[in-house]
Amino acid sequence: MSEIILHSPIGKESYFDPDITPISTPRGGKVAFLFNGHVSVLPFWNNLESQIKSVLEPTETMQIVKPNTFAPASSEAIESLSSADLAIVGVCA
Amino acid sequence: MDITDPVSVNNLEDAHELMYDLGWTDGLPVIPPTTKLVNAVLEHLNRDPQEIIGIVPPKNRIASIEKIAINCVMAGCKPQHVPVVIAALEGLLEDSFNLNGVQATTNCVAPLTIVSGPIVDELNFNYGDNVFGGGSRSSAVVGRAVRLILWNLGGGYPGEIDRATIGHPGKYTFCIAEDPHNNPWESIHEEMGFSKDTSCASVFACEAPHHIATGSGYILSATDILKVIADSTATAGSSTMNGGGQILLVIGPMTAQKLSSEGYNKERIRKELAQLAVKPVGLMKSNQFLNPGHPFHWASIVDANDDKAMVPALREPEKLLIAVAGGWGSGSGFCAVTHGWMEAGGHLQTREIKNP
Repeated sequence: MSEIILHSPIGKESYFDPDITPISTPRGGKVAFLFNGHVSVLPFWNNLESQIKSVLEPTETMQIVKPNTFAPASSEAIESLSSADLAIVGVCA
Repeated sequence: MDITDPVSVNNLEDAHELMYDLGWTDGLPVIPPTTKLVNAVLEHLNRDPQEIIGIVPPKNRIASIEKIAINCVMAGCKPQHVPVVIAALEGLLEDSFNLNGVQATTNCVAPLTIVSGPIVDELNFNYGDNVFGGGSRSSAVVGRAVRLILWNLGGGYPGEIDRATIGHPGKYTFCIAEDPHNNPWESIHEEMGFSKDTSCASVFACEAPHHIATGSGYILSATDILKVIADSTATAGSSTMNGGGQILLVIGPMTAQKLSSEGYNKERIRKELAQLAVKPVGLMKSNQFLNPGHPFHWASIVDANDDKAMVPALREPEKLLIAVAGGWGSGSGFCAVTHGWMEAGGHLQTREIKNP
């Protein structure tokens, strides 16, 4: 029996516009985290924070924890992010 | 090996297992996308195989005509089904549909395709008995092709980017047709501005359908029918009750005829259900799904301190989508309601089906 060719249903990924300038990596600066603090996602955020600390070695970190996915952060909390060199904001869950 | 490249096997038995191993399907078996079958679709479409219909989120893989054809073959489509799938995909890729969110949300919603117009009869889509179930190849394979595209091009893999916690069976295939013969009102595509003679595919991200026994064959009052539908629509745990958005009401032909005979059109049904489908603030406060500060939360339109005030399931009457479909049944007058994904996205989009 001759071989059967199967065409892949998976498409090539479209990459973002190469003209977009990546942000610089702020080593040694202040890093802020704003995220959903529900118990189901804490392991993810704790792991991410740990990884970022090991890579960026920030001198200072700031955590703003929302009670759940759909609880908006206060405007004061969002404003306070401006004091950081890099703010990592979790969207939805 | 590039995962987008063809692979070869020595026999069909190996083909089936290899497609599972490569992650080309979500668990259900698929048709091997051979050169002969894929070419048959491409010849029917008579379009450049590299023409891009769009980028499918969240993996952002390119939906070329060729890749769409391959997924359609795997779903069991005949070539003439593929323009329906393309129309549905065009609707899904409209920015305001927020397919990225629909694919990734923890909510259970899945895109439902609703086919309407002359193509319903031409390709035997199911608009009658068991409309959300099996029985029609066209309904089954179009819904299945949409799902495989969301899987293989969108990369909506459960536990990875698809974070749905419960999901629903419509994530395998989810396609119905509107009844072209027993609908006393305009079909959805006519409401969206297309002519009655135009065939269209509409998409709406929604939960699994909830069955409603209205008893419309045994009772006399349209008001009673709407009360029953309203109570089945307004439930404290539904996402739309908490966060607004669209709701699809599928009205069986018996109930549609009954309502129409009493002078009801879609506008009147929407208006009355918007008033009837409510729950008291005192109950809704028990649900902490959304924080009251959230922009979708009902507290933005109802006084949260008045426990007797009523929270509407439909923030505006126009949020109710109405399709006539399903069998005649007995006198039970079955209907179904399915809630959307709040104001977050998945809102109705309708596109013309363009045959070659």
